[in-house]
Amino acid sequence: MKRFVRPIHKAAVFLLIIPLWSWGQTPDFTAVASPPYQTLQGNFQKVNDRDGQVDSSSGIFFVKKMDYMYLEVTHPIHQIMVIEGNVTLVYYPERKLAYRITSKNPAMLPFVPKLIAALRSEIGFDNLGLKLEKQELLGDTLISYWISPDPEKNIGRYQMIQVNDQPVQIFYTTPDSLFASKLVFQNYRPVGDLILPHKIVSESVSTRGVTIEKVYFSQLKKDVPLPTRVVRFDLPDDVAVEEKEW
Amino acid sequence: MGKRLGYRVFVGALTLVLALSLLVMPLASDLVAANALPQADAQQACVDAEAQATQDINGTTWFLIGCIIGVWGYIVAIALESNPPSAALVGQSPEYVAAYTDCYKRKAKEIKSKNALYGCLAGTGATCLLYFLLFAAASGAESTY
Repeated sequence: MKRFVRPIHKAAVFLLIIPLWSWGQTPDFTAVASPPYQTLQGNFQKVNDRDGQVDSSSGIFFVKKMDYMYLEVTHPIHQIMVIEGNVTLVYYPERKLAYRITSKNPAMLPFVPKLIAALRSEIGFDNLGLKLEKQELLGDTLISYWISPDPEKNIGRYQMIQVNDQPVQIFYTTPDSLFASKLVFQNYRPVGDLILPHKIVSESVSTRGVTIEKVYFSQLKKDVPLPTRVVRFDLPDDVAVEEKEW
Repeated sequence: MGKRLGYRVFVGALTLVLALSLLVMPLASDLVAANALPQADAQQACVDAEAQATQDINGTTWFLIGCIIGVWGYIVAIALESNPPSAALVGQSPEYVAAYTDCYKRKAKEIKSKNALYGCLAGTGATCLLYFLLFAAASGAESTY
């Protein structure tokens, strides 16, 4: 009997484990293999509202594809963030203090993935492993619903609303409906050959509460060479660097 | 005369105390607030980081991984790291950044390892039960012959 049970048990383990690595992991709908720019830069203002507690920050950012980002916050604190691969450097010039935060996985860039999500109608949801469930056309508004092609791999449902081919909203709910997030794209303006939103509102609703983040962009520029101080950023010698890990 | 002088001294002292309290109290409260700010920042950072980790990491998945691959699931849960949410650090103080990274890492590991461990225990229990039932069935079949 044992001769039969052991191989069956082992086979079951291997068969079950393969889909499990991806099951329950929600795809990042802002992810993209190759962004439609070489460099992107501009000013930002971020306003966060966590259950009525509002805070804001503003500054300037420079990004090279999805590989390198230099972000300088001027309000409410002077802070420089440099993100490259698995290393995030957070530097406070006035306090001569910096954190070098390393991680095994690449750090997610702030703001940029949301800007790219606005181009999702052009890039498509297909490369995220999703399939079109259904779509409705109401005048100039197209509403499409996206799910996983595998019925057993329930990762939730995406709804995209496009007006005149431009995405105005992406809505996502988890299979258990315990978490929902919404991205709203507003103030579309041309940036080079792209048309990008200059206001992005993201709302997350979970059992823990509601978080609303509004990001305003201005003076966005595409494919302009980055300044040398940005590309070759070096910490001054007198800065104390604290190493941290995620 | 002495009574009048005493009254004047009393009024003068009272005025001085009131004036000083008006001047010193706001300064003192500012000083207290300035010292309390980093601590409040660190506390808020920890609350934010734990909420973000709970949102980012699916406990059910780690339970099932632990259930199926047992102790290996637990080891993987400890070793595997999530994608760090650097956006949360934009415009935050050094105290917030330090506390956020520590709390996020701790909470993420806790969710993964705890669920993988529970899954591991549940899986081991289920396997033991299965073997016990098979053994009982085999023994029963042998005794009938």
